[in-house]
Amino acid sequence: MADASDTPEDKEQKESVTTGFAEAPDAAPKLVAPDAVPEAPAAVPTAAAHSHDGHSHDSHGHDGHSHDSHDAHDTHAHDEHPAATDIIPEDSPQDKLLSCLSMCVLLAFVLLIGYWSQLPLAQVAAEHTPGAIEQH
Amino acid sequence: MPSPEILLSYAYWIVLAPFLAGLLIILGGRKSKTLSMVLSVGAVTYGFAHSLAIFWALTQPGTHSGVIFDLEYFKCTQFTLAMGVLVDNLAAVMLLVVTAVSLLVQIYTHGYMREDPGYSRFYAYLSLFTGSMLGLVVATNLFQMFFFWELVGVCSYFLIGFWWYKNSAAEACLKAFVMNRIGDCGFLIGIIMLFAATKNWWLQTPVLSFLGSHGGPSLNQVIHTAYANHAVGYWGFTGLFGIAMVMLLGPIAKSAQFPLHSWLPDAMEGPTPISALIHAATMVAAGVYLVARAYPIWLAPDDIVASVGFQPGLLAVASVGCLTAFMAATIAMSQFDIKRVLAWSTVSQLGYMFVGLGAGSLTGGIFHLFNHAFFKAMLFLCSGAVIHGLHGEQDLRNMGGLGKVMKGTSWCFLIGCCSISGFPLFSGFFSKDDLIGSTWNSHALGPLWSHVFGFVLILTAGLTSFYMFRAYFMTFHGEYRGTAHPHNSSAVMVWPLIALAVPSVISGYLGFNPAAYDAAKFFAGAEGSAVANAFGSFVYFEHPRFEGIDPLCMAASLVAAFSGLGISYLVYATKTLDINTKIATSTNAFVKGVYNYSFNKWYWDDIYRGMYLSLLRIFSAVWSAIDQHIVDNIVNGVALFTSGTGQLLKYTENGQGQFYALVIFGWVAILTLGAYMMKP
Repeated sequence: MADASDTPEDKEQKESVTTGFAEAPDAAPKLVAPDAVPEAPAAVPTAAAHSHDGHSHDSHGHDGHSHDSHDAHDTHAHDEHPAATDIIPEDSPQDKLLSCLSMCVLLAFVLLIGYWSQLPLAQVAAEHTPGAIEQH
Repeated sequence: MPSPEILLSYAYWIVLAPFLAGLLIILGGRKSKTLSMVLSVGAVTYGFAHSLAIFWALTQPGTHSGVIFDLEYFKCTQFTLAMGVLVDNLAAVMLLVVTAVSLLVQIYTHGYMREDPGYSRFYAYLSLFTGSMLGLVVATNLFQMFFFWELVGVCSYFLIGFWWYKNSAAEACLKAFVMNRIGDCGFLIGIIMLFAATKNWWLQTPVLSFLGSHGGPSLNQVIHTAYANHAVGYWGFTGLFGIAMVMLLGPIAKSAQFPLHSWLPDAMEGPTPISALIHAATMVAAGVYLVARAYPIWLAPDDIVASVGFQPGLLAVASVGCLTAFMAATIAMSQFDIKRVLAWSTVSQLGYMFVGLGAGSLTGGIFHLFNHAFFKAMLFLCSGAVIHGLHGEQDLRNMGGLGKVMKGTSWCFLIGCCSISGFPLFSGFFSKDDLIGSTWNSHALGPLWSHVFGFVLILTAGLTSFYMFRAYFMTFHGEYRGTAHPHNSSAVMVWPLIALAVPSVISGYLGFNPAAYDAAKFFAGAEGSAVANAFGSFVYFEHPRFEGIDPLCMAASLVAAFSGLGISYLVYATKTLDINTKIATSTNAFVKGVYNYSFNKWYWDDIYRGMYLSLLRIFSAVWSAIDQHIVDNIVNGVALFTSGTGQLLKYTENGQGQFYALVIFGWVAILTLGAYMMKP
């Protein structure tokens, strides 16, 4: 584990949680109006709430892309598993190709549902009623 | 265009292609990001195209669906194990869902993970995960399904813990793994017990085959023939009911149903694309699919139903689903992490599917799974776009006003909210209405439970609308409350959202037949308005499920959904109804208690932790006693015996030859005397 780069919350969690289950909060979270957060940040139950969830923003960063996380990852993973580190730019041909592929999927959905809805419907037999159990 | 038979006969490539892609990436493709992406996306693109072709093939007259091939890999006098490919209409629908959602998620992944050093590794895991799920879908028997079931579990472990250096991710993947193993144990024990109960029916043919192969019977035939002939050995109905309940643990864990539900919200620690894939098309869908595929296991014979008035097995399935749907909805109302709100909504919607299946509405359950896959994948990818645009911020309280910056994402999220809330014209409306109507009118649940569950589902529809629009208004409406500088996502992340928005609206019309809304039939009640629709006709083309329209249920669920929207709008958009401040400043213990109960997720994690620690303490105390009083005494006793024996024998080792000779003589005399006395 990345001891050197852990945030205080991570260290706290590491010390307290070993079961794989989220720890119970030390105290019940404070109740605040969500919209009051920017004006009164001190009243926000973030610490209790998020440590209870097993989740902290400091360690999340960019949904896991924080510098701390990257440092830890670099230290432990890169040397063992050399992998491509180049970043594909947003205006690359790959991006354009994938965008086109998404459009094709969209078109496929429209055609599929259009075709499907035109298929002949099965006939209803008189002995069947709603809620009756149909079997294979 | 190849013939339908050829398209079906090569269906195994849909499963093999992602596995090959994943292995190639692991073996060398990861050295190039582009190569990894091309291999993974290419494999699932092929799978989607082939799935579309299979769908077309199955709509052609005379096409033979069912078991394409079944390879016997272990055969003895007692049983035969086989592995093959089953492609019928139900599997074809699932193939479409899995490949389509996986393809769009993989396209989105390129934009979301482009800066991550584990980009190629992630694509490898995605491919293996998709392949495992596809293998599960086309499984011909329960043993094969269990094999891929486990592979899905292993891949999800790697994906949830993808950022393993975060403690929370490491714990989440461990939790998911452990909880799923509990369910898997039940599933495996159930399979073995079912085989033991029905083994005489599978001689020389693949065992526990869903549709039968090599001339053997199907699971449905075996169970019903056994019931009809009262020939289920010493098991009887009670035994088979017990087997069904044990086996139900598998779907309960995989589909995050109560009481094995709490791993799914914690699985949000994985990257958002995998959250979308797990919640929409793979993993959690597997449990619902198993219940649908192996449906006869949960069905009781007619005489039992006649005597008790309901289907006991299906009632258990519906009870689990109903409790889960309501519980998860109440929890989602108070969560502040955008992904966790969506996660709890998934748990709740899966509960709806379980209720539908339990109510006998097999098509309704699968139809909701079909619709839910698209709008839930879109909602998760939208949340990922928001998180990406806010540099990792996931707290709804630090969002707001993002609709001005992320217009496309905002519109897609709104479509998803409308769909999951069951508003008219959106896909969720049709499937949810089908489920609620079928539950209310269910013969399988009996008159009491059908109405109780129907009422709870209607109430949950209102809660769903409230918490989904709460998330929408807190994210996209009003003024921005955070500190980051939001930015829009790249095109490669937005196009998959738009592509998923299309089925989130129009796929519901597959469950719509204008004849159902014919005025005369409409007011004739559910029985009179029973008609087949496109989805039901395809999934059960020979025995269509009739989609009844219950105007009372439809009106009630609409009132509930619009009420949820209205309250959410007043609280979070116009802020004219300041419930939050009232709750925060309330001194009423009941109000605080109810809020905390919801916020702390009904304290299930704490209960499980307490149970775990209690069991650990009992186990520890028992083993401590065994160690101290038995093991230690044995060890000490051996040492004492050795020491004592040594103490005694040391006197015989005196170094005098005469003494040794005397001992030898004495023993010879004793043995001779003994032999003489034993002489016959």
